[in-house]
Amino acid sequence: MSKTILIIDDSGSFRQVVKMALQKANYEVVEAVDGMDAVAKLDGRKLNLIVCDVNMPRMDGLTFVKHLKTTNYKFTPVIMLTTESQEAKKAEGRAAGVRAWVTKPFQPSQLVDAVSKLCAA
Amino acid sequence: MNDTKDPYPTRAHTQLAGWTPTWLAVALVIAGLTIGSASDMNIWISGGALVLCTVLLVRLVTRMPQVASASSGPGAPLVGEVLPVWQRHLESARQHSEASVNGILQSFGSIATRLDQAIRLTQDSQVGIDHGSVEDLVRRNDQSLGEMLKPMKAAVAARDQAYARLDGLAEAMTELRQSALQIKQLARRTNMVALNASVEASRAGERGAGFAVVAQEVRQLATQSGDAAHRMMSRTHAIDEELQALRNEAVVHDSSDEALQDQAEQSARAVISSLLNSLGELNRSSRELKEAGEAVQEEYERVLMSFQSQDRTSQMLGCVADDMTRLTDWVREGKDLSAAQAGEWLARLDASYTMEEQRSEHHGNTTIQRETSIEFF
Repeated sequence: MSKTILIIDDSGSFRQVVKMALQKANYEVVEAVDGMDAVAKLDGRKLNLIVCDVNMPRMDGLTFVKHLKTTNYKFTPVIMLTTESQEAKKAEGRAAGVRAWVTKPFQPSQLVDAVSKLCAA
Repeated sequence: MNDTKDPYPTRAHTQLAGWTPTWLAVALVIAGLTIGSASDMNIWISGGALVLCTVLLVRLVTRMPQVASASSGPGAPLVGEVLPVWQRHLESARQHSEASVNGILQSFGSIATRLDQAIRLTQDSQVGIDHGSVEDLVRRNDQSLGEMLKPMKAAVAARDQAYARLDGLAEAMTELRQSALQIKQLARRTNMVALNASVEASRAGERGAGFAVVAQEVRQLATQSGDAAHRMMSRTHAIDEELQALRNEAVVHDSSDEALQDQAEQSARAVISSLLNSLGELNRSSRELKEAGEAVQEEYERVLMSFQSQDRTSQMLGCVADDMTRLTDWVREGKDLSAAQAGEWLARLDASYTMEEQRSEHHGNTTIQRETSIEFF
């Protein structure tokens, strides 16, 4: 049975790129356009991992991760996939429980490796 | 940013408000019309239109300071009117560009998926061929061919045995013919003896009458034996001729059967050899296709990397659009731009960046080309 990944990014083209990379590796993909939309997707469905952008309208990625830790999905691993490279943001993400920080642009095979590693853990 | 080189900001405004947005709109329409379908040609048309959009947007943005410099003077109301129009074009371009890239990506994804399926199919077929190498197939088929020809060879052997029995029968017939000849000779001699006995019986007169009858009977028996021997010889002769004809036919069949057997074996070997050659070709093609598939996979990765630039471009343009909003608000509020602290303004702009590239460009440094960075916590 394939594993399900939630992709949260306000850029449709970027979601599409991530989706193509993950679907090629036989992952099921659920999409959300920002943190608020992602919160609505935490509706009891099985999620094996979350790939999340940082800077998004309405609810940013780090706020979403903090919210995630108060839900039934608190053990779902999160990878931040972002252009944000400031150390302060990374530290905030680490403190919030983020498991990996991937800086855009990403190499699809490396992202798939990271997803596979965290899904197996 | 060469506001000092162009002494005519009003002319710059005219060019931007007139030609640039117009061409921008044309490019966007082309991109928008072509993203709906998934042909290769439309992908390139959309891509070209997007490049045009990007060039025009860059031109639009780089001309900004020329007009902004006029906003503190008598041209301020003009700037207040024009800036929102530019913003709308900028945002529209950003959205259209993203929609176009999404369309291209979906088409590309569809092509990549189909290609991937085709490559997987050929890899599966290659697995089948690899399990039995061509040499192994030749050996196995040689054995199968031997098995296939076995019944034919057994039938030929059985026929040869039957022909050998015919030879034995011909020998027996020769012996029978010789026996019949002997009987015929005996009958002739018995007839002569009986004739002599009849003559002697005649000489004996009355006393030899009974003996004459016996002699006559013996002659008749001898004649009948001779006739029977003659018929037997005729019959054996006829059977001999039939047997000879059968033996002649056997010789002809024997040579033609061998030729047919050889021909069948050669034909079967030729068919198998041709089949194996085709399999070899298929195997080679499959291997080449697999190598091509691996090359395509590398290209696929590179293309996905390239498509990510859309998101980065969008973020950069979004950041500029936000700053244009601030400038518009500033002008609308009637503030004197000359009073604005450039340092403060730029610092706030700098703080809004999320990418190293934006910060580098802001400070006029060379843009950094970064490798993918993955950090596990």
